[in-house]
Amino acid sequence: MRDLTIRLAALDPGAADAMRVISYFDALVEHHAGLSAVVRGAAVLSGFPAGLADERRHLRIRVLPDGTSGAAAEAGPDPAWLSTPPSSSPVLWIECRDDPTGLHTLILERARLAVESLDRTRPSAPDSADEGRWATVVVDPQASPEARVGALQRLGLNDKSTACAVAMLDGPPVIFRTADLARQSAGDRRAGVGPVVPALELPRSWEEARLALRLSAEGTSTDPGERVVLSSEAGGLLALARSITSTTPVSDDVVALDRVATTAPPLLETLHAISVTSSLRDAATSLHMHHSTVQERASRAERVLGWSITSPNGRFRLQLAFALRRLHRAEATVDAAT
Amino acid sequence: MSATTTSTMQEVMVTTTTTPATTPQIGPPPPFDPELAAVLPMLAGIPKFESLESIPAAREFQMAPPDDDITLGGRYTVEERTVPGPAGAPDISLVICRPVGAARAVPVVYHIHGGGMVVGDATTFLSGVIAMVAEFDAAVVSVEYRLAPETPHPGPVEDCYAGLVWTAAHADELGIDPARIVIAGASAGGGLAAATTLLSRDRRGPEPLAQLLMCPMLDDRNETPSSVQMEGLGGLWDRVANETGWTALLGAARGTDDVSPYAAPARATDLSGLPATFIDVGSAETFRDEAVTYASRIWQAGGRCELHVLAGGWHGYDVVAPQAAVSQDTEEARRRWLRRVLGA
Repeated sequence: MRDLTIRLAALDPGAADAMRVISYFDALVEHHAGLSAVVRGAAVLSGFPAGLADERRHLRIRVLPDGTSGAAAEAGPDPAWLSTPPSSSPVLWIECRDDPTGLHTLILERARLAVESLDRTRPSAPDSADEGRWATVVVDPQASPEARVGALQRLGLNDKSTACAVAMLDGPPVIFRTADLARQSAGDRRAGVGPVVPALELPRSWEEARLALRLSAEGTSTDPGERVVLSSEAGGLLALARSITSTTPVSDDVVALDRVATTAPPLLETLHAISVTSSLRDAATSLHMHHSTVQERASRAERVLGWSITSPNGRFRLQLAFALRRLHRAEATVDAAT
Repeated sequence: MSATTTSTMQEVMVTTTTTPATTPQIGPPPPFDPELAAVLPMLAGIPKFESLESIPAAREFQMAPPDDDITLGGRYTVEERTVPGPAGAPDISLVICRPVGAARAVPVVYHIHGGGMVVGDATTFLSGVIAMVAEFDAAVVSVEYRLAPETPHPGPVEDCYAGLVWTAAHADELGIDPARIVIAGASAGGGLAAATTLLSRDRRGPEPLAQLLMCPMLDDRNETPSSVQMEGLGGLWDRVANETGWTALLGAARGTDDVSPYAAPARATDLSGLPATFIDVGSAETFRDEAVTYASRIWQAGGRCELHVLAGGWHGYDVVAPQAAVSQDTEEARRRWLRRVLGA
């Protein structure tokens, strides 16, 4: 058959070579292609479905080898596939399990670089430094409403949106549409998540996010507790957080916990588990320890602390002591950062 | 670009500047669509149609994948029929593709292949055409017309017309509905489709329901702003190639007053009385302006026409890079229009 029209040689994955891959993605960047064009390039050049997940933008793209859109994956990539690290943002993948020639790895790498450079040059997708600056305006009660509306737009929101502010140990505020997204996105970082509010009330969400952050813990044996705290779940502890300042005297119960932390860290973890469960049996389960061991530790702790920790009142006193301890510790770490 | 091409371009530029026509100010070429730009380097090795002498080499060049399946995985039967050609000319052959198990008369797409008037055959990119119309259970009849320069005008268009007449006359035998004939073609095939439609109108031949003109090659004068703007760019077909194709068809008459509208439909003075027409073209290709003008003139004549200009498309992008988003949208627009005209 003589045919004037030709099919893209790259549709035959075997014909794709390193030079073609490199020049293909370079051209996409040079011509300011969209992210889906990059994912499509990865799928077409590799001959496998390819995908991109960007939690920050709530963006999921999946393209089949013929260039058409595939059903978007619910979760991220299968760990067996060729992919950028799950912690990278965005995550890019090619749905193949091995790469004998190394070509697919090259495709993934060039696609990743292309996404990175396109992100840098895309006005609608500010880089994280820009995003931080706009978010800072959005949560600033002193900023004029006009300035806050302008900043909201730069973040892809408007004055009719609802959103929540998130405070972390370092870095500027981050804005999310839902608390779930905020929690997911925080990952294993310590974070306080403010309530979802009308976008112009984000200064209030930010204030509560910072209080919630002070109620968070390292999640270690010397500072057990949740690393991410939602202000909407903190209840009256927010009022407590507001009242604790650097001049507030440290209560005896906090001093006692500090003493346990320095002398017997495992005991502190046990105490925390007891404070957040409804029975010693549940505490044992959560600690993966034998019931009798927990019971023995509880008796020992009661001797050190001087009050019963298994009665409802005692458990409340213990919870309060942990909360106060976190707030005092936060004076040193969290407030300095935010 | 070779020295030969460069000198040709300079001559052409001189011709353009001395033409008294009011040529608008021509800016730089419109940018290519990003995905299409990324594909362009892969076209470096294809024939350039720099002159009539380059045609034999271009015919040797195998451009389509050899495993093109025009049965669409068994959904279509394929049959080649030899039927009478134009009066006094050899027989022609038709590739007839019909959906398996059609219960009643089906619509038919009468297909004229592309190839600049000088290359290609009846199966050129036929699988794509069948895939496009399969959802309507349409038959596809593709005509093997004789090529220029061995067969100059009017041989090619007369072959196309003869095949159309035979197809309409044998509708019952073929199981097709003669009231639902869509004449379709891309590039030179689009030009021949438009010309065949004009010929059928003027000879009171078969009355097609519609014509589908994909990036059609309509104007032998080769002087539009888009042809000048895109010279040397866009891979498959530029102004130099276009001159080669039209010269092959028309010889010394190319560009003179002595060119029939049945050779170059842009020359037609009357575009009234045409069937429903669909035209698409890329914004970054030689044929942009002649395609847009043809659509405008159909409207001005009171006709039905739908025009799609796809931003950043070079000639033939939809066939070369079907995976690109703009190619998918191009195909989708054609299907949607077919759905409307076929009442499917």
